[in-house]
Amino acid sequence: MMPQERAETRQMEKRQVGERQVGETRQMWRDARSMLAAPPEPDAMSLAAYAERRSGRTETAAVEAWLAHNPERWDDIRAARATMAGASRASIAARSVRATVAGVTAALALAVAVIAFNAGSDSVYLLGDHVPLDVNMTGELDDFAL
Amino acid sequence: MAPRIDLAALVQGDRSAWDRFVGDNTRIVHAAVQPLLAGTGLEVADLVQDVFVKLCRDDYRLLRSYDPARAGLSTWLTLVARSTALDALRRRRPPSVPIDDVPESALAAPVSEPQPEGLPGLPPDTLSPRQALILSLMYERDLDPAEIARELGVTAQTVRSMHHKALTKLRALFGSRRG
Repeated sequence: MMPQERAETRQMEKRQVGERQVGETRQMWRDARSMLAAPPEPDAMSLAAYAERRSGRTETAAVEAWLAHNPERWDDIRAARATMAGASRASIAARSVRATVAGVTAALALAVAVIAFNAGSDSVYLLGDHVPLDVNMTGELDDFAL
Repeated sequence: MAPRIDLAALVQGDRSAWDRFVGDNTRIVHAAVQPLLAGTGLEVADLVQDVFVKLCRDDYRLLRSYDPARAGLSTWLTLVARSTALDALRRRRPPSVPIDDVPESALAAPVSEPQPEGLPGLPPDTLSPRQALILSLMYERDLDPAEIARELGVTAQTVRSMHHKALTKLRALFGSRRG
């Protein structure tokens, strides 16, 4: 065997040993993870404070314990940091933004109407307008689970 | 410029405050949910609207939980948006397939992953949360120590050291229980 071939073979063997060790360690971690109690999901405020590195010691530990169990959610932290850095704003048409504003306004109107209707009101003062509540709205209101 | 929020006006249902709030933040919410919905058949525009509506539920409970002293609005909103999108994906019913079109092998009872034998559970303080996170990012997400260091805001040497200590603990524990 030529010296170069010997060197390549040694390199390949080292790589294989390395890959086997990583595989064994990965399995050991997965075994360990399956035996640790699953921590509760932190709320968005705790995650946001963590993403901005502004959470306290206890809160950081709680968030990291949860992330260790849910590593796919690390993408949430990355996405939040990208937004914080100003790198994450969709390029969407002003028309789409206006449509969203209109949709949310309508949904909010319905939400307020549901609350008022359920409370027994026959009308509601809604986002600047006085709106009568009709018993015929019941079906529509029932569909709106807010 | 970071978006501002007039919480008091929003929880009063002030229309102009809501128009401004939704107008200012739609692009952020859109960017947060879009990557999660790609190829799922769910409409991004509908989800964006759902995110804002979610803020209003139960008398603006979620919106009231936002604390500007603890994190920026766009950071928080991104996390709320992604959580809403993931909930929507979980709720979505998988498309049905006629049973005759399903291969027989797919109908067999699933084989569960074998659990490690004789290991009733790890003591809660076996790994610190950060050690567990480092192992998780390394072995579940295939990040290297330098990447993890950047993400956690520590040095790569710290990551390597915590990784080493965590593995030493696990090997000792598993070795003693199995041995």
